[in-house]
Parts: sequence; C-alpha cells; structure tokens
Amino acid sequence: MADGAELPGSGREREPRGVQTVETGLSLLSLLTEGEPLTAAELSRRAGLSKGQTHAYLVSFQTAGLIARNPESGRYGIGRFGLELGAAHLAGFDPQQVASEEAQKLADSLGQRVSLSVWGSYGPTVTAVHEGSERIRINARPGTVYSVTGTATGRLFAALLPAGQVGPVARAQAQEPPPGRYVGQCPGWDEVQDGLTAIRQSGISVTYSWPQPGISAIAAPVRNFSGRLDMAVTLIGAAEEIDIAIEGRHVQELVWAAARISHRLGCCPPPP
Amino acid sequence: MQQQSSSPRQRGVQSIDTAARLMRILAEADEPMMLRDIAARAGIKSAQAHAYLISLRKHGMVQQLGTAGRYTLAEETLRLAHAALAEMPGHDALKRAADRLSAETGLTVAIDLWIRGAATAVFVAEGHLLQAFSLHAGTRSDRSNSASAWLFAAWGCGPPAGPAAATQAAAMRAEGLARCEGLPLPHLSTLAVPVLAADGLLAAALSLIGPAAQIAASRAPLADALLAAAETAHG
Repeated sequence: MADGAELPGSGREREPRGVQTVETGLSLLSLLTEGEPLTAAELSRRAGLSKGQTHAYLVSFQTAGLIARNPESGRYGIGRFGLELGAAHLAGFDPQQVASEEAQKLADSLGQRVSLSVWGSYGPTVTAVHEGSERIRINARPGTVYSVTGTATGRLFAALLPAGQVGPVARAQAQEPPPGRYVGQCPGWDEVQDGLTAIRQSGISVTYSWPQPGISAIAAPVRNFSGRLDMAVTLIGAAEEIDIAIEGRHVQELVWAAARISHRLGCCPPPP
Repeated sequence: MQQQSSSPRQRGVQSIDTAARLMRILAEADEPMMLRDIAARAGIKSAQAHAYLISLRKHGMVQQLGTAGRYTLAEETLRLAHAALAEMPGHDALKRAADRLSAETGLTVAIDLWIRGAATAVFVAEGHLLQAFSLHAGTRSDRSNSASAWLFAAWGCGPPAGPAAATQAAAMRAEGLARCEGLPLPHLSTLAVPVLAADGLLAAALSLIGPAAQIAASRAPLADALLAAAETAHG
C-alpha cells in the first residue's frame, strides 16, 4: 500500500491498525532519546535494519528536523523539531490535572485517600484531595497547610528543599500561638534532622499512627521538566490498613504513581 | 516502503514525512484537534490519518483526550526535547550554573531559547524568595513580560520592534545585559544576559528574576554572577 498501512486481519482483528513503517521509524527515534548520539552503523545494528533502510529513515527524519547529524562527531541525535514538539506540549498541558488523574487512579487502586501538595509561602499546601473507597475522619481540602516538621508531607519538603527555604517556615509555624493555621504538630527543627536524612536516602516520607493516632501517611516527590521538586503525592489512611513497609504494596504503588506523574511532567534526566 | 524522490541519493520514507507533518499540525494547534480536522489540514483521508495517529499514540507521541477523543501531543515529546537540549553545546553546564545561582541567591533563574517564534523557558530554577510568582519550563513570553524576550529582539529574533523599542534593544545589545524593572510583574525586576553561539547568534538568554528592591540594591554583583554563569556554556 502506498501509505504503508498494515492490512487488517491476520488473526488480530481487535488490534487497531497502525502504519508499520512509522512504528519502525519511531523505534529508531527512541534509540536516540534513550541514550547517547549514535553513528548510522550503530543505529542500523541496534534497530535491526539494513544500512539502506536506516539511511532512508535518516533522510526523512533529518528533513523533518527530528534527527540532526553532529558535523564534528558524525553522530546522529535528536534535532530541533524534537525541541519544538516538547515545548509545544509543555505549554499545552496542566501539571495539576495530570497529577490529579494519576492520584485518582492510585486512590481507586488502594481504596485510600491521596492528596497532592505544593510548597506554599506558609508551608506545604494541599492542592487536591482524591478519595478512595475508605473514608477517614481527617480534614484536608485544597488550601489546607501541613506542619513542616510534624507531617509526612511536610517532612518530605523539608528533606528535599534547601534548609534556608524550609527552616524559617518551620520556625514560624512553631512560634504561632494555638490554634495554628496548619495541620499537625511541630517538633523542633533540630529534632527531625535524622528523619530528614532518612527521607533523602529512601526518597519517601512515612509517619505511622502520628500525628493523629490511628492515621498513617506516606509521601513521595514529583519532579518537573527542570528536574525540580514540583509537588508531593501523599497517601493517608487508617494505620491498620496502610502497610508502611518499603517493599509493601502501598509504598510501591505510591512511588510508582509519583514516578509516573514526574515522567508525564517531563522529568527525565536526574536533577542537576 | 521506500519512496523514491527526485534524487536517488535522497531516498526517504514517505510515511515518516507524513507522520512528522501530523505532529507539526498538532504542535501548531492551540487546543486538541478532531481527527477530521487533522486530516483536512494534512490533506489526507481521515482513515489514513487515523492509522498514523494509532502508531504515534502507541509510541507516546500523541494522546487522545476527553470523550470526543481529540488528539494532542503526549509525553514522549518531552523526551525528544530533553535529547535535543542535550545536543546543544554547553546546555548541561549552563543548567547546572543556573541551578547553583538560584540556590545561592534565592532568586529565580531561567534559561530561555527562541522556539517557534517566542522566547521559551526550557529550564527554571524557582527561587524561594519570590512569592506569588511562578514560572515553568514551556512558558512563552514577549517583551511585555520578559527581559529574555528583549534580548532575543536585540539579536534580531521576531518581528522588528518600533523605533523606541529598537533603540532600547540596541542599548541592551551594546551593554550585553537587559535590565528590566517591573518585569515580569510590577513588583519584580529581571536581569538577563546573552549566551552566544559560535556563529555570534543568540543561543539562549539566561535571566534572573527577583523582588525589585533586592535587584536594585545589588544589581552589579548579581549581573556579574549572571555573566559568570552564562560563561559556563562556553566551557
């Protein structure tokens, strides 16, 4: 067929038809997004294509600007049009909406509440709450501020943001006369430092049956296109229902969801 | 599979040309598009466009949204952007320098490139001293809200400026520094310096955004730090 479309049938009727040569081409392209620039010979070997086929794909991808040849090294990498496509996508989606989609999937899968938070001027601030099937008696709604040193979410931000940014807010919260404008208790900044080191090592923040007895929480970080901490995803539920073990289902699914959101936001290389 | 064009040495794959055209149509659209509109724009039949979009979707280049199933670009394009940026000489070093400068000053430091006709942020280290202001990678700006856009204008990118703006841009180019008070917001100021490519064209603009009073109080040292950070792009 002139357009290269696959013929229907062949025992996979329900599989939607694509264009085989486009898929071969995109696989070739993904070799260049996953690693270092490659020579034409390396590309053809890794893609399992003949030299002639690889050359034909390279001609079209270079015409489109999706692949560019470095004149010095002679290697092929992703070209200018790849940047234009990514920039167009970045300008077109709402990170909060992407995060909410994944948070709701997590809440449905685990049956527990999942909240999203960002670092605000007065500490970790809830931007969305997604309910699972289990309802807990704890108030959190968009706008709720968590304690920096006394909640799983607050400690995640405290561990991963610069101390100069987080410390003053933690002290301001601790000095506020009750009732504070935040949720949770306020252990001293020095008291929590060992805990923050552990969070930096494990990448997650956990509180068991505390600060509210009977309620546990696990928080994981989301990074954005610039590799910077963008928000926290927090799982909150009854202590007897949430498994806080690192290898347990709750932690694993939460970490996977946070990684999935980071990926969709464009976090790909490690933070600088 | 391979379609021969005029020169036998320039044999390409026609389906790749078509797939790239569909992606360009989606990149230029302001919102998600219906299949029939994409096909009409590309000058192909809907059924044919559908087959291409299935393959592009399978590889994460496009996605369908909502009950109407409108098409828009998807997350793998962000992987393309990272790989393209990694190919730019000095970009990784510039990113690290921008990150460091933000950490040292508490101010926001951004790298802008000229993409699809506008200064576009491709890296943003948000400073914690900036409240009620948020800048993200992907943000497109112009001279009304961005010192980086002024630098690109000074280096001839975009439509020609009016006489007053042209004089201002020429002064920025001569000084190698854009100082913009009240940008991007009335209570903020921005300093921006050029990162020049080997051919003398403007490769990127590196900018520092902070509270107006703080920038005014230490403008010279901040400009020096910004220039030093821009230098890292040249190894």
